[in-house]
Amino acid sequence: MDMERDHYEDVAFFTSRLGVFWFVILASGLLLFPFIASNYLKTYYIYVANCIAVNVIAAIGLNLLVGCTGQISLGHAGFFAAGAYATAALTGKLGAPFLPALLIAASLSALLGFLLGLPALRLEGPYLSIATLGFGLTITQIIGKIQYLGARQGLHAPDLVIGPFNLNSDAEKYYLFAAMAFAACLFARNLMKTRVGRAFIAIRDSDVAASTMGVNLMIYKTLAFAVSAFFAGLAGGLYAFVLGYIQPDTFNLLMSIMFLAMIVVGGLGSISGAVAGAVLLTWLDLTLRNVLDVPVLGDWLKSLSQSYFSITGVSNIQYIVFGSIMVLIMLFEPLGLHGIWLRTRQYWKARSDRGRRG
Amino acid sequence: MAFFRVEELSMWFGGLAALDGVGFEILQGSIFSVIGPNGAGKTTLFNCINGIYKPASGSILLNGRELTGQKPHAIAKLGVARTFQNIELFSQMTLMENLMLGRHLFMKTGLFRGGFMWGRKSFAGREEVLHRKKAGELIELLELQEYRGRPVGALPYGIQKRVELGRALAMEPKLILLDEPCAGMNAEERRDMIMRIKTVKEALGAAVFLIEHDMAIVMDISDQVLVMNFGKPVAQGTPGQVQAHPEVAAAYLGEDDPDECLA
Ligand SMILES: Nc1ncnc2c1ncn2[C@@H]1O[C@H](COP(=O)(O)OP(=O)(O)OP(=O)(O)O)[C@@H](O)[C@H]1O
Ligand SMILES: [Mg+2]
Repeated sequence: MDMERDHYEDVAFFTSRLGVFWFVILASGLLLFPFIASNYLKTYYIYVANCIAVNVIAAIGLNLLVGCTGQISLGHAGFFAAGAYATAALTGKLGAPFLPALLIAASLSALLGFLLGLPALRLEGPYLSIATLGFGLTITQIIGKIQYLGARQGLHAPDLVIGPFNLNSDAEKYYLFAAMAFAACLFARNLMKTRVGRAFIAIRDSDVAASTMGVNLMIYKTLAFAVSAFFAGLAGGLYAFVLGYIQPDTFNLLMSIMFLAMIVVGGLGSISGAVAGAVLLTWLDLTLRNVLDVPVLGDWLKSLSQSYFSITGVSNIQYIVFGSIMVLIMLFEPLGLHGIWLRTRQYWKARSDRGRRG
Repeated sequence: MAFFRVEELSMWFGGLAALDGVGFEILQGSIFSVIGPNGAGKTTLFNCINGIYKPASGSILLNGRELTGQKPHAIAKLGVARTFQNIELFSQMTLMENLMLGRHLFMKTGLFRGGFMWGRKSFAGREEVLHRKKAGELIELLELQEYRGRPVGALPYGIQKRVELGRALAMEPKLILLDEPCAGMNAEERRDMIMRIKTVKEALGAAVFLIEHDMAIVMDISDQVLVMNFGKPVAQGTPGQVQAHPEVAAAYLGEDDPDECLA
C-alpha cells in the first residue's frame, strides 16, 4: 500500500486545493496592497511595507543560520551593512546597473559570512556570540573610516533604475521588494525541504550523528553562514534604497538584536514564523515611534515615562512598550508566533473533526 | 586480506587507557560482538572507528584502507554506518527525513538545485522522489509506516532505536556499528530487534559489529566475540570458546550472576 505513495507530496509546494486558495488570496492581497494603502490608508504604509519586505529577507536568512543550523549570530547588521554599502557604492559611484550590483553586494556579504563561519567551526554558544558580535561592530567601524564610502557622513543611494524602469516612488519599489521577499521565502523553503537544508537541521539536532552520516560539518556550517549572510546582504542592498541615504550608525548592535528578536518571536526554525516575526516587529518598531501622538494613551505613556523611566521622558518609551510585548509573547508562547499558529490550527482541526463526527 | 581489521589500537583520556592494544578482524558479512563491563572502552572503540575520536596509536583498516586520521564524513563515505548508545536522532525531523539523511551521500542536490527546485520534474524533485522511495522501502522493512511523517523526538524509545537502525541502513553500509541496540528494552522488544538485525544483515550483506550486554543475545547471534576489560582485549573467539575462557568469567561474567547471564 505504501508503495503507491507519491513521495513528491513531502516536498511539493501545494499539497491541497486549500493551499492554492490561500496562496491566491495572499498573492492578490500583496498585489493590491499599494492601491488599498494609497486610496484608503496612508501612503506611509507602503513605506512600512517596504521596510517589512527588507526585514523579512534578513530574518529568513538569519533563521536559516540560527533556527535551522543551530548557530548564532549577533553580527548580522554587519552583513546587512556590507550589502547596503556595496550596492549603494556600485550603483551610485560606479554606475553599475541595480540588479547585478545587488547580486555582487550580496555575494560579497556571503563571502564575509563564509569567513566568519570559519571560526564558528571551533566556537559554540556564548563564544560564537561574542565572535559574531565583534564582527558586527568591526564592520561599521571600518566603513566609518572609509572616505570613499562617505565615512561618518554616510552615502546617498542613487535612483533605483532597472532597465527602462525608474522606481521612484515607494509604491513602485514595493513591487520589486515584495517580489524579492517572496523569492527569498520560496528559496529558503525549497532549500529546507531538500538535501542541504536537511543537513543544516541535522547539524542542529545532532552534529555528531550528522557527521557519521556523511555531512561534512566544515562545509555545511560555513555554507549556512554564507547563505545567511547572502540574505542579509540582499536585504541591506534593498534597505539602502528604502532610506535613500545610509550611515554607519544605522547598522548598530540594536539592529542585529532586532533581527534575532524577529526570528525568536516568530518561532525559531520556522520560515513562516520568521516572516510573521519580521512583519510584527517591524510594524511595531515603526508604529511605536509615533505612539506619543496617540490621543489619550500617548499623554499617559509620556507622563509614565517621565516620572519613572527616563529623564528626557520621550526617547525610550517606544522600546519599553516594544520590550514588554516581546516579553509577553515569549512568556505565553515560547514557540513564538509559529507556536500560536500551530495551536490555532490544531484548535480548528479538532473542532472540525468533532463537527464531522457529531 | 581481512575485510575489516583493527591493529594495536590505543587511546588515552588523561591518564586513563580507554583502549590498550586492541586488535581483531571482522569477516565480510559476519556478526562480530564486543562485550565487557561498563567503562571497558567499547563505545570508545566505535568512536575511533568512525572518526569521532582519534586514537593515539594503532590502525583501523577497511578493505585495506586506513581509517584513522580521517574525518567522520569521509569514513561514512567508505561504508561505515552506526547507531548510538544514547540515541542520536535528529529529533525535530520526521522519520522519513531522518532516513533521508542516510541517503545524503547518494544524493547530489546542492544549494542552487535545491533552493530553485521547480516541480517534480526538476533535478531536485526527481532526486527527492527517488531516494524517498528507497527510504520508504526501509520503512516498510522495519514496519515503521505509521510513524513515517512524525517527528522522531516524540516517538517511543523502542521505536526510536528502530529508526536509528533504519537510518544507518539507509546508508547501505558495508560495516554497521550497533552500540547496544537493545538497551532499555524488554525481552520481547529485544527478540524483535535481534530478528530485525538478522534480516537486514541478510538483505544487505553488511558485516555487523555489535556492542551488547545481553549475553544470551550475543552468544546466540555472533560469529565471533571479543571480550574487553579496562581497554584491553581479554579473550576472542567463537561464542563457545569465549564462554569457556577462564578470564572471561572473572572479568565480565563474574560481575552479575553468571547463571542468569548465560541462560
Ligand atoms: N570523552 C571522554 N572523555 C574522558 N573520558 C572518557 C571519554 N569517553 C569515554 N571516557 C572514559 O573511557 C572509558 C571507556 O568508556 P566507554 O564509553 O568506551 O565505555 P563502554 O565500554 O562503552 O561502557 P558502557 O558499557 O557503560 O557503555 C571510561 O572510563 C570513560 O569514562
Ligand atoms: Mg558504551
